[in-house]
Amino acid sequence: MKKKITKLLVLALAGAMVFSLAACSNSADTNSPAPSGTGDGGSAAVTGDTINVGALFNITGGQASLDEPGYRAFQLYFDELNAAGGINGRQIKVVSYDGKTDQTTCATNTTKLIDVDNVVAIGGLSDSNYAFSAGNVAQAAEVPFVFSGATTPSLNDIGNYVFLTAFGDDTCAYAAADYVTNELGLTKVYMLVDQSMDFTTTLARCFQERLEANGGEIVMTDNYMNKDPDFSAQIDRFLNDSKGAEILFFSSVPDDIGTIVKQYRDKGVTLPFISGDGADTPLLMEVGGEAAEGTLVSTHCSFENQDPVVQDFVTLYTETQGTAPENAFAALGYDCAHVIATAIEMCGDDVTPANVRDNLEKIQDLRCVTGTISYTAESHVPQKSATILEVQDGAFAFVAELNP
Amino acid sequence: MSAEYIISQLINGLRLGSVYAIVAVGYSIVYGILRLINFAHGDIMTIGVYIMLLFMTSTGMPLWSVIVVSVLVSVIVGVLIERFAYRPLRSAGEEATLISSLAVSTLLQNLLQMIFSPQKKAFYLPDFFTQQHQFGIVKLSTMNILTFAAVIIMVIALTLVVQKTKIGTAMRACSENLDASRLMGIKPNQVIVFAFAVGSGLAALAGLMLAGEYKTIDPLMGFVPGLKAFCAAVVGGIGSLYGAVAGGLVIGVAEMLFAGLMPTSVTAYRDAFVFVVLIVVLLFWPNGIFGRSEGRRS
Amino acid sequence: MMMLKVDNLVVRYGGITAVDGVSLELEEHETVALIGANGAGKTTTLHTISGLLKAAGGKIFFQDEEITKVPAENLVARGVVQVPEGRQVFAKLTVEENLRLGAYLQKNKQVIRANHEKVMTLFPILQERRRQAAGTLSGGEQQMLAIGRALMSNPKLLLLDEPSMGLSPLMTQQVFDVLLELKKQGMTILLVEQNAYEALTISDRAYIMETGNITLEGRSSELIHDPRVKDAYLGGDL
Repeated sequence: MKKKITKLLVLALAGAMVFSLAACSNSADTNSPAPSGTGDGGSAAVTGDTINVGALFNITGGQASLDEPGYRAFQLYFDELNAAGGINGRQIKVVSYDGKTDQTTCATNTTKLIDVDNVVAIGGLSDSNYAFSAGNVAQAAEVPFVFSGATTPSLNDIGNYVFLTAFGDDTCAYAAADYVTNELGLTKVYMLVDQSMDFTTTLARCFQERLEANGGEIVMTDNYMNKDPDFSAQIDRFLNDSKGAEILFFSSVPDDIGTIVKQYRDKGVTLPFISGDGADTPLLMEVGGEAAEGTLVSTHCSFENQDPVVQDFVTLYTETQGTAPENAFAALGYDCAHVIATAIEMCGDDVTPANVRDNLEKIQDLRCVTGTISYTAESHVPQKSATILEVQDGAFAFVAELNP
Repeated sequence: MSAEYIISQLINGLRLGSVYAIVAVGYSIVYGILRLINFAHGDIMTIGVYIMLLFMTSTGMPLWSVIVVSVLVSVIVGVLIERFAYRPLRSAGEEATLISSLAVSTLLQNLLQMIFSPQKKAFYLPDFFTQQHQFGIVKLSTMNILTFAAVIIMVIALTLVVQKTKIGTAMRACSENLDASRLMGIKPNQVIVFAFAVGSGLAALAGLMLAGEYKTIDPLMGFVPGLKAFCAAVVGGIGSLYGAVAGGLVIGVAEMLFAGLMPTSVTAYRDAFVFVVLIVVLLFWPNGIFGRSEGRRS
Repeated sequence: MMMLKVDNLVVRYGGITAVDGVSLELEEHETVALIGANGAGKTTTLHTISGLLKAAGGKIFFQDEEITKVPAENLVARGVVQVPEGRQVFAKLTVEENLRLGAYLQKNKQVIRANHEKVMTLFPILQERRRQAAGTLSGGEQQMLAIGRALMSNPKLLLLDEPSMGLSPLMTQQVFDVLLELKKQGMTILLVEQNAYEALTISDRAYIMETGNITLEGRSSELIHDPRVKDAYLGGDL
C-alpha cells in the first residue's frame, strides 16, 4: 500500500515538474538563432569595419506579441543606420537570438552573445522576469544591456551595466491611477493581479499607492497566476459583491489580458476596464474581440501623436514591415537601438563594452519615439510621459498623455 | 457569503469537474488495461480543439459536423499514438511507455506550436452557448447545461457499453487479467485500440467544453487540465469508471470552492491545492475513493 | 490423427532455460498427463503450446499445422484452449459473463446455446450461481467455472494447468470426475499436474518432467507401478 502511494505521488510530482517545464519553455531547443538572426559569431566585437551588437528578444512564446515587433524595429533601426553609412564609418552587425519566453534560455543566450559573438552591447526584452535573468548575466560579464520594454524600476538595482529604454512601472501605474481619479473622476477600483510576475505585482503596488494618494481606494483585490485560463471563480466573486467598484484594473501580461476581458464581459461585467502596458498588444483585440472595446491601456506612446519623430517612425515601419506598428513595443525596440547607437557613436574609435556603458550613462535629452531619454549615474530608468489609449473599433486610439 | 454565491461557485466546480471527469475516464480505461498513465491524453484535448477552430474558421460547416470531425481526428491521433509510441514499447515495461507518453506530450505541444503558433487564439462559440438561464437562485449557461448533460450521457453510454456489449465485457476482462483474456481469444490490441479511441474521442469533447468556457485556446492548454484529470482518476481509484467520474467532480468542486471561498491572498495557488487534495486522499484511501486493491496480474 | 506434436521445444526466460528440448505427442481422444515437481517446466511448456510464451527453439504442430508462432488469442479459434493455473476466472465479472467470454469468438448463437447447456449439465452449481461475481465462488466452483468457460469455445484440445491446485481432496475428486466425463465424451486433454496419482489414474499416457526435460514416458497404467515414479511422485499418496 505504502509503495503504491509513493509510486503515484512520484508520478504526480514528475508530471507537475514536466508541467512547469512546459509552462515556462515553449520549445525544447534553446539555442537556435532568431528567424532572421545572423548568429555565426566567433569574431571580435570590433573587427575592422564592423561592430557587433546583440539582440535578445522573445520571438516565440507568451511574450512574442511584444518582443516580435520590438525585435523587427530594433533590426530596422540598424538597417537604416548601416544604409546611411554606419557609425563613424563602421557597419553594425546585429547578432540576434530568441529568448523563447524562457528565463534559462534568455540567460544562456546572453552568455552566448557575450562569449561567442563578442558584442559591445545588447538590446531587447519587454518583460522584467526575463530582463532580470539576462541582465544579471550581462552585469557579471560587464557588457551593457539596454532593455527595450521591461519596466520594473528595481531592474536598476542589477548594477551599472543595465539600462531601461522604457519608463518604470511606477510611471505607467501612476498615469493609470491619475487617469482614473483625475480624468474619469472614479475612486473605487477592483484590481485583478497576476501573482506570478514581477511586472504585474509591481504595477499593482504602484497603482494602489498612487490611487490612495489621489484619494481613491482599492475596494477589492483578486489574484491569479499567469496562464490560468479560468477566471470564473474570480468573476463570480466580483459579481456576488462588487463592493461598489466603479472600474476594474487588470495587472496582466499580454497572453492573459484578452482572455480576462472576454470572460469578464461575457459573464456580465459592464464596468470600464483599465490596464498597464502589458495590455498594449494586438492579442487584446484578437482574443478579446468585442469585449475589448473601451478597454483603457496606460502605455509608452501613441502612434497618433503628430510629433514628426513619431510619424517618421510610423511611416518607416509601415513601409518596411508592411504593417503599422503593432504596439508601443515596436517603438521601444527602435528607441532601444537608437540609445545603443548613440552611445557607440560617442565612443569614437574606441568601442568597448565598458566605453559604451560609460557613454550610455552620459546620454541626455535624446529625443526618441517614446519620449525623451536621459540617464544619470544613479538611475538608468528614464523619466518619460505615459500615454493612455482606448480600444475603439478594434484598434488603439489616443486618449491622453500624462506626466505623472 | 450568500447561498446564491456558494451555488454559483459550486456550479463552476461541477462544470470544471465534469471536464476532468470526462478526461479522467480516458486515463482510467487505458490504465485499467495497460497500467499505462498516458500523459499525452491531455494534449489530445488540445488537438481536438484546434481541429474545431480550424474547421470553424476555414469552412462554413455547421458546428455539429465540426465537432464530429474533431472527435474523429482525435480518435485517429489517439489510436496512432498507441500504435507507434506505446505498442512497440509494451514489452519493455510500464516505465518505458510512461516516458514515451511524456515524450509524445511534448511532441504534440511543439507540433501544435509550429503549426498554429504559440500565441493564444480566440475560440468563440455561438452566443447560444453563453446564454445565461435563471432557475430560482441557480444560474446556468447553456454550455453548463450541455456539459452536465454530456457527463450523464457519457456515464450511461459507457455503462451500457461496458456492461452489455461484447467489447465492453472484453475490456473488463482485459483490465482484470490480460493473459486469461487472450486465452478466451480476445485480441488485446483490439481492446486497447478501442480504449484509446473512446478516451481520445471523449478528450476532444472535453476540450470543446474547456475552450467554450475559456474563449481562448493555446497549444499548451490541455496539459494542466490533463494532469488534474489524472489526479481525479487517482483520487477516484484509477481503473474504475465511476471512480474517475466521482474523482473528477471532487477535484473540480474542491478546486473551485478553494478559488471561490478562500481569501484571495491564497486563491492564486489553486493548482497546488489540487495536488494537496490528491495527497490527502491517498493518505486516507491509498487506492482512491472507489478503488479496490490491485487484482492479480499473471 | 495426431492432435498435438511438440518437437524439441526450448523456452528461455532471460538467460534461464526453463524448457530444454521437450518433445511430446497427443493422439485425438487421448488424455495425456505431464507430471513433475514444482519448477520442472510443465507450466512453461503448456504456456508455450497455448501461445502465451514464445519458443526459443523447436516446433509445435496442431493437427499437422505448425502453430509455434501463433499467439494465444489466435489459437482459440483453432480449438486449442487452456484452463490456466489457479483458475484465473474474471473475479469481478459474473459467472454468466465468464462463460460468455469463453464463447468470445463463437458467432453462431445456436452453438453458444448448445455449449452453454452442456456446461450447465456438467456443472449444475454454475446454474445456481449464474448472476454471482465469479470472485465470490469457492475454489472448487471457480475451477468448474474455468473448465466450463474453456468448454464454451468448443475446444478440440483442452490444456489443463494444475486443476487440483489449492483444492480440498473432495473438490479435487469432483474435478477429476468431470475430466473423466469429458474424456469419455471424446475430448483430447493435456493435463499438467503435480498430483501424480490422480493424473495417472485418469490419463492414457504420461510424461514425467524434471528440470526442463522429459525423463520418462509411457502408459499411465504402467507408470503408476514404476518404482522410479513411485519413489519420486507417489510416495506420500499411496
